[in-house]
Amino acid sequence: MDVTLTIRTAQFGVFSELEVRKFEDWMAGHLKRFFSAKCDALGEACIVETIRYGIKRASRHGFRTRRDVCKYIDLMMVLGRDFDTHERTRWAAGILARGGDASATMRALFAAASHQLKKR
Amino acid sequence: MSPVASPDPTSQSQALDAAGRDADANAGSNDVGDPVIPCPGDNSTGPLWVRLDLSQEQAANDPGSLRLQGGGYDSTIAIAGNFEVNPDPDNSVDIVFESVPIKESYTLTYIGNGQRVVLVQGAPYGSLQDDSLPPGDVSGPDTAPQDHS
Repeated sequence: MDVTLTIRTAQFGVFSELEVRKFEDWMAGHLKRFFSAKCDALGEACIVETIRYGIKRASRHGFRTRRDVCKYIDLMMVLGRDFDTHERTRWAAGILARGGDASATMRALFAAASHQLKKR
Repeated sequence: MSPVASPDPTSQSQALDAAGRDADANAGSNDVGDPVIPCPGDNSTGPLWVRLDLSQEQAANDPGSLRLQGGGYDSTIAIAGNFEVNPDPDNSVDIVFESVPIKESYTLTYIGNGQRVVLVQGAPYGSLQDDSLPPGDVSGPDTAPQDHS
């Protein structure tokens, strides 16, 4: 089997792990406050895993600030973990693909998500 | 994770709006992890992600390992069974080296099928910020198709 092995070193963190842990703790409290039913269903370990996954996915889309990463994870809670790639939320991928200012992109995502949720 | 199952979509919208307001007010505008500037005696560590352009199936059957060496750090991770999948359209997988000292320089080697391929030679941790390395920093065939089956 021929396999094309292309290595790209994607360094998620020249980050202070301590700062990331602090954010994870704050984020867990935030999720429990606003998405309590979902958090109850997920359980503590899964909440942490979801936050870490969200930080990683958000980073891939250029979201670095705590505010934007928080909102990205909020969107995961209501739209689904892989809302950025899922067929059902194709509109989100369209917004993410536009690029540009990350905070503006997040505002557009939030507005569109709110609109979609109200339509359901 | 499936979407939140709620009988009332309006409440989802309201919860999202409220969460967004809390993020604006309290999450902060700093980056999630403040950049760490290495200094003498700095023992800080960080994760190092290596992204492989392999599908999940290819990664699961890959016979190789990645070895990261630098300073006192030396870790070898078998690709199969130790990867995280990036869904379409990425169609790639990540191997994660945890707690890598950030003040060192590193050599990354692919080991498999009786061959050793140096992918990154002596690169400082801080130079690996991008999700791609300039060709000059890579001594191995990083961008060339490589048959390692």
